[in-house]
Amino acid sequence: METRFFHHKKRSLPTYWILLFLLSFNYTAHSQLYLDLSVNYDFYQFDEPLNLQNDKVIFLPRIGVTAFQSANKKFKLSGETGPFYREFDQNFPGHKFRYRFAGWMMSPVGSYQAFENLYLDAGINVLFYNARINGKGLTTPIGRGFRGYNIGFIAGGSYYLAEWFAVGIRYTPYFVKMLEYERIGAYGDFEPSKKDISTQRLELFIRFQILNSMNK
Amino acid sequence: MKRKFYIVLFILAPYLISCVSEFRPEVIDPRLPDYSEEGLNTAGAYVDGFPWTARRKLSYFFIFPQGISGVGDIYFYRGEDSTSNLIAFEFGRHDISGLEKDVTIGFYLDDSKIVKPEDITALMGRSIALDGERNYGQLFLDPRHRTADQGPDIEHRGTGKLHIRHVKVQTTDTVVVSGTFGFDVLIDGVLHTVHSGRFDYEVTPSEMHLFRK
Repeated sequence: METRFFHHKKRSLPTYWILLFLLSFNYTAHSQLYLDLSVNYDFYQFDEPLNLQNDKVIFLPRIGVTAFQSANKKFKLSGETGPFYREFDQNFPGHKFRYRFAGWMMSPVGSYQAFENLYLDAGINVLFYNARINGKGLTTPIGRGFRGYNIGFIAGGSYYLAEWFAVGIRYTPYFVKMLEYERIGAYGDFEPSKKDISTQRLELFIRFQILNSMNK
Repeated sequence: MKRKFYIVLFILAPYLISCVSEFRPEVIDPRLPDYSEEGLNTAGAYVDGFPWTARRKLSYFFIFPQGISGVGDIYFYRGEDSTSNLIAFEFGRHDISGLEKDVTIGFYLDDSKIVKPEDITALMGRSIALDGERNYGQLFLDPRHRTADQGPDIEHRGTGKLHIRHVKVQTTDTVVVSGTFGFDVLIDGVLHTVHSGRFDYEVTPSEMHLFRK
């Protein structure tokens, strides 16, 4: 006899992370504060029978705090946070469904000054989000089977055109596959669990240095 | 050292909780209901490769007694001797690339003896072979012309499987039954497929009926 149980996922609250983040930097006496405005494009790899399409660029802001800078000012460590969003479409004959993933992101980022105005960045991007589906003929708007989190590795750089302004680029491949599901076979048998949808994000951003008490 | 460990554990706690895996079969096609075990009153399958869905709807049967009732609902029909049943998902919607028509899917089960909802518990966990002889799948492509309550269509017997995966008694006369299914059936020389089926219904005595005479 086959018995199945449903495990209801407890989603962590973004506010919990935001609070921790703010508390972490609240007592930093000397810090840099910056605001990034980014243009993002997501790439997806997936297997059949999924047929995903993405032609959208996504605009997102984030705020960052540099809490540590080495004595020679070559290396600095920052924490970043902001809203997160991505979406893609899945098309069937006569139907189009849009999957939306909205939540919050956090990133610890280390920067190394390679040249006078050029910093190379590396870090970890942690995402928490909820999945929703929109479309005509939908049976449920909840994106079941989608994980509510992801972790990616940030690689990129930023070039300071002025002390208060920089442009940058980032590439973030994510480690966790977005979807986990079990298919129902032709005659009603459950097939083995499958993980699918890998994603990478390419990002261009501009940075406004708002506060700088580190005397850069 | 130990204190640092607890601080790290506290920070990582939400992440670790969110890692709990979730069993969600068949979630990749939003046209069909997911498989569930919550009495959501839905069913779905691919009929000839196109999505077929049934969802219990509010009926105006009491206001308009001549109208069609039981749209998208599950019914357990039985003969006078109450030894066998025809379980039918009535008037589901078959969506052929935007062109919709009503289709009823059912199963004839010999010796099932379901008269009242709590009798369904005897089927819990059973994988029933639809052998085309004693038990068989039913596909009513024009259910307004040939309805399930008239009895089984013995000319067209589908072969495949019916899995009753979950049965839960909610109250004294309400039972939640969930399962999966699939079968093939030859109708007028054409082989029709009913594949990757799933259902999740709350069954009450109002879904139990005798075959119409």
